[in-house]
Amino acid sequence: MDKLGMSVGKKNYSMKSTIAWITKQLLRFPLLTLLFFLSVAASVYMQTLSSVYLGYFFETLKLGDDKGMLRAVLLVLVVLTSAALLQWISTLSVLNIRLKVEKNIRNEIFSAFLNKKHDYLNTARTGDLLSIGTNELRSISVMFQPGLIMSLRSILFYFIPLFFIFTGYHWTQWIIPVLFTAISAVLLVQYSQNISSAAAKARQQFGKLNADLNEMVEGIEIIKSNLQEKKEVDRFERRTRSFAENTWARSLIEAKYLPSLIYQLFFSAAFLQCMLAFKSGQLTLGEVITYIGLFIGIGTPVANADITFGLIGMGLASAKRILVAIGEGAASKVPANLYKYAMNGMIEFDRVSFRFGEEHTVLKDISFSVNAGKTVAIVGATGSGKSLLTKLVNRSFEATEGAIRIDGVDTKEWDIDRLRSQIGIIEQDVFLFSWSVKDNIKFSNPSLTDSEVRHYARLARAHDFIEKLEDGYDTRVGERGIHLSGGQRQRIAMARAFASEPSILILDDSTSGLDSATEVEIMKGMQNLMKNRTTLLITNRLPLIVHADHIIVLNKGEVVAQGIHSKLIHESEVYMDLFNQKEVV
Amino acid sequence: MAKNTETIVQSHTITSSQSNHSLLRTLSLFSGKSKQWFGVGILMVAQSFLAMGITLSISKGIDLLTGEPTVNRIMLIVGSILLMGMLQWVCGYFQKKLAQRSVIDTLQELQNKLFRSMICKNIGFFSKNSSGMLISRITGDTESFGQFIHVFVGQSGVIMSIFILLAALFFIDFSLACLLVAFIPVIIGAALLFKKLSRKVSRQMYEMFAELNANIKESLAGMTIAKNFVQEEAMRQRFLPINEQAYKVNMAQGRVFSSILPLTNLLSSLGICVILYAGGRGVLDTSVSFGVLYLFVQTVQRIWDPISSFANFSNQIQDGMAAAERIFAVLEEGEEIDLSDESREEWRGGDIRFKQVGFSYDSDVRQLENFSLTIKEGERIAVVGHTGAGKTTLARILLRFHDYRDGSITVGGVELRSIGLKSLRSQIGYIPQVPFLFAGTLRDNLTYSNAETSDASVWSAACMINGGAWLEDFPEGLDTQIGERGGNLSAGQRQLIALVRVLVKNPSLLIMDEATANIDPFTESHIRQALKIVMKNRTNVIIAHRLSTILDANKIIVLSSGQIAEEGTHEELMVREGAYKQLYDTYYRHQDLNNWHASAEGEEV
Repeated sequence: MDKLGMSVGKKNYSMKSTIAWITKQLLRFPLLTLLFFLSVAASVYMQTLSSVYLGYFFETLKLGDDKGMLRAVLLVLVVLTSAALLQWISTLSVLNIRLKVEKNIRNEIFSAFLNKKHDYLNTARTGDLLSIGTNELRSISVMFQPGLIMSLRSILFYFIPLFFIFTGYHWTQWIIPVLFTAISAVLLVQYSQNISSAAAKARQQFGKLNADLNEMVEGIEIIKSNLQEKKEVDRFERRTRSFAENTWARSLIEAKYLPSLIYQLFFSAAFLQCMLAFKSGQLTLGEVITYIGLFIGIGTPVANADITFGLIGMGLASAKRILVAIGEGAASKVPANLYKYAMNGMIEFDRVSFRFGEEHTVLKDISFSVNAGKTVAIVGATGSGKSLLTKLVNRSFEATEGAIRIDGVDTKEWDIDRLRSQIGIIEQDVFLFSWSVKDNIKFSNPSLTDSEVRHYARLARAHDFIEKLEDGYDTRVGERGIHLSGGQRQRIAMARAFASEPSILILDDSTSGLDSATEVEIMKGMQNLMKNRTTLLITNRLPLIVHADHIIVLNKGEVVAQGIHSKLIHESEVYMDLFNQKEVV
Repeated sequence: MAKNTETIVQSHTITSSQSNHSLLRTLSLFSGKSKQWFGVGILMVAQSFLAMGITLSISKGIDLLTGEPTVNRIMLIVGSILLMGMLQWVCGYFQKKLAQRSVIDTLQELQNKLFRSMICKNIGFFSKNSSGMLISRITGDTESFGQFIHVFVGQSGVIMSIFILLAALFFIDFSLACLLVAFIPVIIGAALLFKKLSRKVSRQMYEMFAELNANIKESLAGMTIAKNFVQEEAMRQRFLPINEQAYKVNMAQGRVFSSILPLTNLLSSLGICVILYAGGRGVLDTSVSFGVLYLFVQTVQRIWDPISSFANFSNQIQDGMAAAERIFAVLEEGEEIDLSDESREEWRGGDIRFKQVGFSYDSDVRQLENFSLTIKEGERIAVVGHTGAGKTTLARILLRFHDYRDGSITVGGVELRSIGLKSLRSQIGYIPQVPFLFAGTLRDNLTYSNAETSDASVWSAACMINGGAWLEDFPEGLDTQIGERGGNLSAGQRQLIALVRVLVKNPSLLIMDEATANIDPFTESHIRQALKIVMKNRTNVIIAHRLSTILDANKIIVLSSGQIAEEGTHEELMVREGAYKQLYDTYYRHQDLNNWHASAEGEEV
């Protein structure tokens, strides 16, 4: 199955389109976004303005101006409190944006998954998909808050104090802050690049560590019974060592954070320049204090950068992964005017082949036909393509060549919803939702009444054991149906398939480890289910195979024999093997 | 799922008395690096002093501006600022390096220690704890523990520098400093209020997230079913309200957390203005210098730092302590019996005798009771019985994954308990119900018991089974990479590899828990042939699920509630019409084609 991964087309999303996507998410809330940007800008402006008033305050003190001093204090108070209030507005607005975007993206991911092709869902591991909806989304979330607010403030703290310096001071005072801004910006970009590549390496090592651990836990019995504890410990210690080395490499980059050293240099230079300017009478005391305040403001990006860059970088990387996941393997749009009639159930495979990608042929030139209401058993070794063959019928997978016709109409001309709703499937690995038994049975047909649910459960030979469950039909199945035995789960799945009253039934039956009594119950349920329905049956239960109307023997994706049991047992060697070796008796 | 939610919530609600205790315990994990941490502390204090010195120098510089500054004095002050600034950076550099080194070393050691401790635990530990949980002990928990120490050190640094700052301020201007201290109760009050609020909303949020994630997980797993039954819309309708609910809970939590920083800024701007006004009056009546006032204005904001950083990091501290508690729990749990004991007796082979053996796991339920059995050297024993009859326990006791409590087991007259684990396990080949394969090459997997095995002997073992035909499925022969846990191999192929692995090990006793997984009849026949070859020339204890295995056995043991209900051959036991006959009718009869026929047809619906 892993080979599939390669064939699922991976569209490449550039950083540009990722940013465009995030921007689009933001622009769905234009007013909030506007409010956010304005409040951040105003807040930074106010905070910067406080340096000006602080300078004014010291100037009034120098002049001994009592009233002016009080006025200056009040001005500082107004400016700082409004800065804080504006900051409050900006955090609340970014909170709103963040949560709304989060909700929307979550919906978008969910809808995208609902719209995926089967092969995508079958190939991708649930854990990976889950991580798209949880971890990746969380990192987008922190990119917005505090990432977005911090980075916006950082950028503004580069420019707004500069604006004040440009407007309030002689050009000779511009040189140092401008130089600092330019140099520190370059250094910050370099720093962020180094950090992200080091972090990526550490993350990779962490993944390997995880995989090793997983093996130890899952394989513990084999490790112990082969006395290989020491070997595993050595292997693990090698892993932790290289993980530690990678983390150390990153720590060194972090420790050598040059921008803050540069800041100290420039700050001293700026302070020196101010003092000298004061001495030569170019600046007043208040102007010196304001200038220092403004320069401290310019240092904000340097102080915040290590956090900010990380958050934005991680967020964008996650956004890219989400975007890829949303875009991948979407089911194709269905044209209108399709065949939408009730199904009789005649199936015809006409020279059908199926390939994954270019080369890996799984099914080759398959032809057979079944009349409505008949049963076809498909037999063959693991990997011979049995399950895949049945999955072509409801177009979970599309045949690469040839045609599959139902009631004489090519499945590609059937309306896909009509097609699928008239085909009932019981999968190899029975999946039940954690909901109540009743809801599980009703899943295929939500409008069923309680008595209809019971009716179908009876037919599937599930009613008796359901009644004995703690809450009867309202018993919650629990995650992945863990509280029920394999046989019970299969019977609920049969009831579920029953409830949709399908014309065609696909039964991939491989429940194992059942006792004979359950086997008998299941067989009876199956027989009920198969009555008057065209059935494609994959099973290891020889009695069912023997009774099929038609048997197809698959070997490595090709039909090596077909016909009825009494014919095949004499003519097909592969089929004979099956019976000779199954039972020693 | 509900259970899961609970544990998540519990881990975040440690009471305060517990939390002091666990804080100490958590910190104790770093005791091995106390010298380094002492160094880190010194460097942090130095940085605080330098930061203080820089602000002080600036204020001295401003004092200069009230008079007639000379260039020399200016140069002196600026020079000292520059020097202290550089020194601060250098101290920071070494502090980060030193701290990071000790964190990395401690974490590496801890991970290794955890791993060694886990791998030495007995099997019960692994069946008791889910694999995801055990893995996250070593990865996630050590990581949040590492974050904890960073945050903890950072926080201590902040608090320490505030004390240094306050001390300096009192020294410089007592009355202004008193005014500053008046704010401290407000700060503490605000911190406590926040703590209370955040705990409540965080708890709700964790619960909500657990539910949301469970829903997403389930929907993903059931997506194919939804498509098959054309119920995509129904799935969406189930998802939307939960997403909406998550949004609301998040919003409640977000409002609390988002308000902390602006709120502290608001309070601190009030503080600044109070200081400005009082200090301004002081300057006017010349009791306070310009520089001192500037110093107070610059530092007043910093006494609020602990709150804002608490807001940012309180979760990480809690997480870290909870993680450390979980780590301790693993480390403290008892380890397996005697892994390295070399002085024990050697395995000498011979008959295996169980004499009135009793065993139970932690609970009151006896897994084996008064169990006596003799297995002759070279015999093939099939063990059958209902689920929970003690079949797997029997296998595990022979391997000493668990230790029997009562009675005795002897191998060739030597008590099993006194045989060194090393000697014992090297003589037993064990195949669990689901054979486990390691990521690596096919060779690595076949020679797992002894990496030194030569290719020639691997080949000869592999060719004993079907003349090596099964190897055709592996394009690069022994060098074929096997994916994680046997990735894309079929259940049958995995079984074959497990069997050949035993041939390579060539033990004197084979214990096999037959797979219940339904393997297609074709592969099944290969496995049956392989099993026959593997069973040759050794003692075999097979927990049987296949009729054919039972029929092949020299003796069938029927287990029932930890005791032997019957023993004998198939024919003998069938005639007896007892427990075996019943078991046969329930579990094995349907495997017999002819028999099944009769029963199924007889009861047509």
